[in-house]
Amino acid sequence: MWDKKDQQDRQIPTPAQKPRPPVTSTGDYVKGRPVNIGPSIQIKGELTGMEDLTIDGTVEGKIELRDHNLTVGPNGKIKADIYAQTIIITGEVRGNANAKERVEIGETGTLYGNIVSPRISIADGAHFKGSVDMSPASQKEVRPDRTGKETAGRKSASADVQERTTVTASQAKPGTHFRELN
Amino acid sequence: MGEVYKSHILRSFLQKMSQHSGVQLLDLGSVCGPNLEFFARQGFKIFAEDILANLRPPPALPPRMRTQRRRKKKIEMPAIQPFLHPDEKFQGVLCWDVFDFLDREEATLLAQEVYRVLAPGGFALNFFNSRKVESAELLYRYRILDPDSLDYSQTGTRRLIRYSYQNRDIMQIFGKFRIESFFYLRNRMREVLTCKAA
Repeated sequence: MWDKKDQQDRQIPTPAQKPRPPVTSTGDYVKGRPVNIGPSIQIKGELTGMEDLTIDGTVEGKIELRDHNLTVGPNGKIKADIYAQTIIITGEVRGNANAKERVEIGETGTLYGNIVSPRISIADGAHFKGSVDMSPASQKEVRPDRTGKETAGRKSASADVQERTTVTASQAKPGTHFRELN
Repeated sequence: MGEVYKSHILRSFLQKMSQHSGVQLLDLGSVCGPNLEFFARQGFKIFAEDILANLRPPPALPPRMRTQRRRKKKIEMPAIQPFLHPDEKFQGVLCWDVFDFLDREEATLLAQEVYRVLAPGGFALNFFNSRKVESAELLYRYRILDPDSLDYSQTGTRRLIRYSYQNRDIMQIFGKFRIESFFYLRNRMREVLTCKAA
């Protein structure tokens, strides 16, 4: 009887006995775990990936994770349009956030850009300046195609940023507009 | 949750917006995620812009000085920045938690700016708190619970001087607008729906 129980115990692997994924020669990277871009790292250009990513550093350009999640940590500074499944922002993002599933801005998060996503969550204390579009039509339009070419919807989203950038430049002269009104 | 009360113009505002297609709204004041989600779920494209974020909090002064300064309106605040939007872009503008924290001059400028970005036939939703002004107050916001009820509560840690406007002031602030509806509620809130003539 005791032997039988021992055999059953042997057949059920405990979590500690599960084979661990192989560690690559680059060191800490383990397949299946989210990749982390640390605070001291700065990237300029296009960042594309097929796994979850956490950014605590600085990224400028474009971020495309398609079916994976992006987390911008408290130290993260992004100046890019983002395409991902879920986008969680607790740092600073300047650019459009396009998510297939959800965009979440935490209490310490800042987003200056437009959101296109079927679900949003903006915590109290979060900073947000831009537009929110949850309509299903915009979801289809906003995704870049596989060749990387911009669709019509994406162009319109960029146009919004262009408009914002242009006027920001004129902000350097506060009150100009009001003088005209008076 | 703060104070929940019945709004008399929110439903009317929503009905007017739903008569248009491709509606674009501008929400001024403290960012409230649930409100943005509420309007986006109605099919509207909503833009958020916290115009109070740039206003400096009042300087810390002894109480006597504070009163004198308030009378003379010497507390300096930067002028409201012009909106980063072209003329006649929006069908609706939400100004429900901003006018109370602007002095008369700034409130008038804001109303003019709202008029500029509103499309002809567009509506602005404006709320005023007429309760007695005490000192610099915490910012507050209105959160939509349903089309008939709002949760009015203080938010954040920033304090700004609140101004109390009476009917005549409000009429003058909205000089160019047509006033569609005007409610003075028991809780001393004023709800004003203004329209830019088509």
